[in-house]
Amino acid sequence: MDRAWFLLKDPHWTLLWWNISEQTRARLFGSFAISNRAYLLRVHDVTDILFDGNNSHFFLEIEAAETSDHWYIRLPEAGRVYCAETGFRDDQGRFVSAARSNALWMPPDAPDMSHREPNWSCIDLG
Amino acid sequence: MLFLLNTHQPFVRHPEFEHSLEENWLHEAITESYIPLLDRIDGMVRDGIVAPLTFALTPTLVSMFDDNLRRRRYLAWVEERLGFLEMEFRRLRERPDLAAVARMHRRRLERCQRLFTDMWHGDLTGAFRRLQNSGAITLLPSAATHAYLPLWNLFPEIVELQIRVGLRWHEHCFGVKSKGCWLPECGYYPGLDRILARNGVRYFFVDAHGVLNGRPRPVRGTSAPVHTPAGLAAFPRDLAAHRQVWVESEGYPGDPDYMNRRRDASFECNLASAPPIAAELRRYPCGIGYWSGRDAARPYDAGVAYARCMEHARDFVSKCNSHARAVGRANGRPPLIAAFYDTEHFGHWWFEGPIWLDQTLRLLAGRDASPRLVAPEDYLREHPVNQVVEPTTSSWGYQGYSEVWLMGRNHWIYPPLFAAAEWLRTVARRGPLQHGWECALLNRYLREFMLAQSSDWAFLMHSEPRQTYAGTRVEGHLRNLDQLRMAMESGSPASDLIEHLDQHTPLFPGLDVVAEYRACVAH
Repeated sequence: MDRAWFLLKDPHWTLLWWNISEQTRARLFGSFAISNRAYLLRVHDVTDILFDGNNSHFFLEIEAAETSDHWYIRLPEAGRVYCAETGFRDDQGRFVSAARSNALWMPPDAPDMSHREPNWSCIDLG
Repeated sequence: MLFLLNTHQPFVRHPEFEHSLEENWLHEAITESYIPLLDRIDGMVRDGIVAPLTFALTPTLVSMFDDNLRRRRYLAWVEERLGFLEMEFRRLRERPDLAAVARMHRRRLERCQRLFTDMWHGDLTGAFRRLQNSGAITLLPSAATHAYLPLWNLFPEIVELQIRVGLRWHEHCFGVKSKGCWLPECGYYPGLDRILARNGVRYFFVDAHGVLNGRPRPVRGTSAPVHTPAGLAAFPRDLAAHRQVWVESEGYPGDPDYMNRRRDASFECNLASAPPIAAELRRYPCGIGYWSGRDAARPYDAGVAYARCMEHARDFVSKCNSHARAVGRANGRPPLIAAFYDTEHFGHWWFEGPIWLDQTLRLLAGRDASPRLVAPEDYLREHPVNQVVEPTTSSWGYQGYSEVWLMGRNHWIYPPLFAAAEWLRTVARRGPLQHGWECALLNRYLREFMLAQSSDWAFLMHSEPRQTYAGTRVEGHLRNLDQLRMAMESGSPASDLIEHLDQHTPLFPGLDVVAEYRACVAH
């Protein structure tokens, strides 16, 4: 089964690990004109949206090696939600997705400066 | 002030070897930390000192306390060191100053032997339980096999299994359904509070930045717990209290009057007299040293070290008092200083640590002492209203997040473990088990899985790259998982394999882990 796991290392660094089966690779290479078999990774900022594959705020692309199955990726901003795709670039330059990862919430790397009023609650110890 | 001692060892048991290097970890911790601390707490109880201290005791550690093989080997280990000291007295006959230190070590080891055998009858779990029942200490559970939970957030049923089994085993051993839980490595992620809440937990502990960077900003900083969206209290660690005691370069442990642990007798003695360690290793620190000073060139003087402990205890209490006054004025409420440490820091890493802790707690328990010692649940009963803040993903590991457990030397463990977790999901989806042998097989599968999940292996791969034990442990558990999975898929009970693994690694005997897993999946 094709998989992509997106794991948090710290507020800026992640590890993307993927497993794309031979069958999927053969199917994609057969259906699309893909001469460059190197993996193309796309990391989308999907903060506060329901991601449909095309509606991310922005994405960044990283070319990984054909034999790779994992990549450490530095993300531009902490405190955002990201989602990664593993795929290939076809000969027309289009991204062909093979697997999509889980959404990953990157923790903030600084205190909240939004000056929200504090809320208080009483703990129920039972 | 809240003093919490995280007390953990990974489950290590090697009946196949006469001497196992890794079994030393527990023997050292028992001798240098656990018994000295229990002894001193007993002393405080006898003296009528009320000094609430909180211990997080992890299930894997308690499982080893209760294992007869590990008990026998512990006593043999102590005997070996006493025998070593007899030979050291001959080597040191021209050095009466060093021989005096050797006699101190002999007294220390003999006391450990007496307490372990005559006082506690080999039952350290019982020793902790009695102190808990007398009200002297609070005991908290932790995750079953100390998995680093933030890296398991893609498998919430596995996270819940770690929590559930940890809580169950704690209740089984200590007879108390704890409202608190120690998260391994203070590893927290948003949403973990819901899992904890579902299992009856009401409070847990995080590193300072987990609250300081929380949303919204905590108005009291780390001077008070916060309440998470699921209604649990998260106690943040006080960094100043930590640095003063933990950091060798700037804290108390680096004082030149204390024992310099780097110069160990087993590297100075004749090879033939060095305590046996493991077949492939000739010398290994045995915990016996005679030297102090930054260059370890000065004979150790226990009287001077003891006096230094008293000074440092007074200094610590004075600093806590000043800190509390300053923060209290700013916040209009007495601040909480939550000090968390690894128990092994006191005694194993810092030889005089138990003396310092004993003196510090006695000072803090004084009638007019400030700050006042408190147990976490008592603090929440006195201060039930706190700010709602969502803590961030965080840990108390190096750099404060997941770096230790996810880096080049150890990231390979996750794909096969995730695959194993996914296989468990497919088995769960098939519905109720058809045969009794399947339950036995899955019980063993889940134990192997949880043992492989221990954060200790990734930690060792990160921190001690030359050691190979951690990788060997994970590979061994993964092999067992593969064999068990293939047996299940082919309809084979694999009884011989299960019996062998149950005997070799008896983890949580009698607990139906499959039933616990099913309850987690149902959520």
